[in-house]
Amino acid sequence: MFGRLHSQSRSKVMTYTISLPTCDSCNAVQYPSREICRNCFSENITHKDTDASGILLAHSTIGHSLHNQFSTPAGWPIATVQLNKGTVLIVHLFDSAMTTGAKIRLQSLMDPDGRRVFIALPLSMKAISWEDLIKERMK
Amino acid sequence: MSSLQKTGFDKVALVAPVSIPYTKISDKSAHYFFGRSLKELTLQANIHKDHIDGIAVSSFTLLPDTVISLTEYFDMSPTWIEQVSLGGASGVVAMQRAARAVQMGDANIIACIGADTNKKEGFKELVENFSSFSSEATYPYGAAGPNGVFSLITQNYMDKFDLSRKDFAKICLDQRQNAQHYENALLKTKLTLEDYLEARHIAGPLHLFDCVMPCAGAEAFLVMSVDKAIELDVPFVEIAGIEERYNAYSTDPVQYRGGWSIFANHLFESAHLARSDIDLLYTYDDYPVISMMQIEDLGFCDKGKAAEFVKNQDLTFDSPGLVHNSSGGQLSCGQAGSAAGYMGIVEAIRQLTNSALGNQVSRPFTALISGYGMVNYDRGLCSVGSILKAGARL
Ligand SMILES: [Zn+2]
Repeated sequence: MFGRLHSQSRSKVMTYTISLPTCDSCNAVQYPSREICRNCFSENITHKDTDASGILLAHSTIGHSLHNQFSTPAGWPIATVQLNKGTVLIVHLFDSAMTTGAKIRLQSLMDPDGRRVFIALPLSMKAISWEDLIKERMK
Repeated sequence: MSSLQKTGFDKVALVAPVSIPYTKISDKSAHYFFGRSLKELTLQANIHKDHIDGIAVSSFTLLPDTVISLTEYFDMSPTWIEQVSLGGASGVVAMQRAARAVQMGDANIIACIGADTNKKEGFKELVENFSSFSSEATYPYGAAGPNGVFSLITQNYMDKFDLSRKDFAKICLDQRQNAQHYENALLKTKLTLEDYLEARHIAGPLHLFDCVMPCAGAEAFLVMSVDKAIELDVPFVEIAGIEERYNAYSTDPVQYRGGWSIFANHLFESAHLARSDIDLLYTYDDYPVISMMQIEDLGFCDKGKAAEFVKNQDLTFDSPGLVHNSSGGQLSCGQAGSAAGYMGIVEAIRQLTNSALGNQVSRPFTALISGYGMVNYDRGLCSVGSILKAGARL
C-alpha cells in the first residue's frame, strides 16, 4: 500500500527510498494516506519515492499487545521516526537498543495480515523480511 | 488566527452531579447506563423526565445507536439534542453546547451524560477501529492501543525534560490516596512508590499503574438557568469560563504540549481569577504524562516542570493547597469510556456544592476542569478547559 523498497547505486553509496502518497500539485506527503491533499485539497495523489533515512524520535517496547503476533518474549519494539524530509511515522523498530537520536532508515515489508508496514533499521543494515524479523524476535 | 470576543456563561447553572458506580466488565448495553443516569438526574433535581427538554450524550459503545435512539428508548420528546464524540473532551464540550442552548432559550433543562459499557473483548474492538488513521498507521505497529502511542509520548517527554519513571509516580500515588476516600472508586488498595515502580510492564516506560483500567459506568449532570435551579431549590455551580482548541501544534513531531497553553491566559482572564485562586484541579488523567502536560500548559508551572511541581506539594483532597483529581481520577476509579470526560465536572459539582461522597474538600469555591482527547493518529487532538465556581444565590 505504501510502495516498495528501492535501493539505488549512486557512486557506491546506497540511497534507500520508500514510496509515500504525495500530492502532485504541492508535493505534500500524505501520511497516514489521504484521498484529498491535506494542504491544498488537490485530489491528485500518487506514490512517489522519497529518501528513507531519518532519525529516531521516540522508542518503546510493547509488553502487552492486543494481537498474538506481537507477543514475543522480549516485547515488540516500536518507534516514532522522522524522515529527513520531515514526515513523522510510527513504525516497527528492529533493534530495541536503538535510542532517541539514532540515525535510521525505513524499509517497507509485508506483515502476516497482508499489510505493507514500515520498519526502522540501523543505517548499515540490509533489508529483511517479516520471517527474518520473527526469527530474530523469537530467539 | 484573530482573537475572539466570547460571550460569557452568566446565569447558567450546573446541578445534580450523578456518578453511576463503575464495574470492570458489564453485559449490559450503554443504554442501561444512560437510563440509570436519567433516573438519578430526575431524582436529584426532583423533576419528571418530561421536564428534561435537552439531551447531550457521549458514548463509544452506544453505536449503532445515537442520541436520537435514546429519545425513543426512554419515551422522551426533547426540543434539543446533541452528541459529542470527543472522548476526554466530551464533558466540557457537552457542557459548553448545553450552556449556550440554555442561554439562547433553545432548551430549559438539559441532561449531559457520558456513559459506556465494557463487554468482554469490547475494548479490543474499540481500539482496533478507533479511527481510520489509527487502523492504518498505528494499530498494525504492535496493536497496543492507546498504550503504544502514549508510551512513545511519555518516552519523548522523559528524554526532552530529563525525567525518570519515578517522576510520574506522585500523580498516581496521590490520586490513589484520594480514591481510598471516594465511595465509587474501583481501585482502593494503598499504592506505595515501590508498588508503582515494580508494577507489571505495559509499554516502554509505562507500567500497570500508569494506565487506566477500562470499565463500564456513567457520569451525568443537568444544565439549566440559575433562575431554574433556584426555583427547583437545588444546589448549583456556575460556569466562569470555557475554552476549546483542536489540533494545536500539529507540526510538533511528538506531542509534548496541547492547546491549553494557547487559551489558558484567556480562560483565567475571562473568569477574573488567577491560578492561585483555583482550589480544585481536574486534569484528564488517562496517563500521568498527560496530566503533567495539562498542569504545565494551563500555567500552574513552567513547561517541563510539572514533575517538580507535583513532587513539592500535597495534591490530595485533604491538602490545604491545590487539590488534584479529588476522587482519584481515572487512574484509580477506572475509565468508563466517554464517562471519563465527564468525571471531573461531576466531581467538581459535588465538591462545590458540598456533597462529595466521602472525600469532601474543605470549603472549595473554584474548580478548573481540563479535558484531553481523541488520539486519531499519534496524539490527542482535543484540548479543552473550564473554570467552575460555587453558585451564588441572589
Ligand atoms: Zn497538495
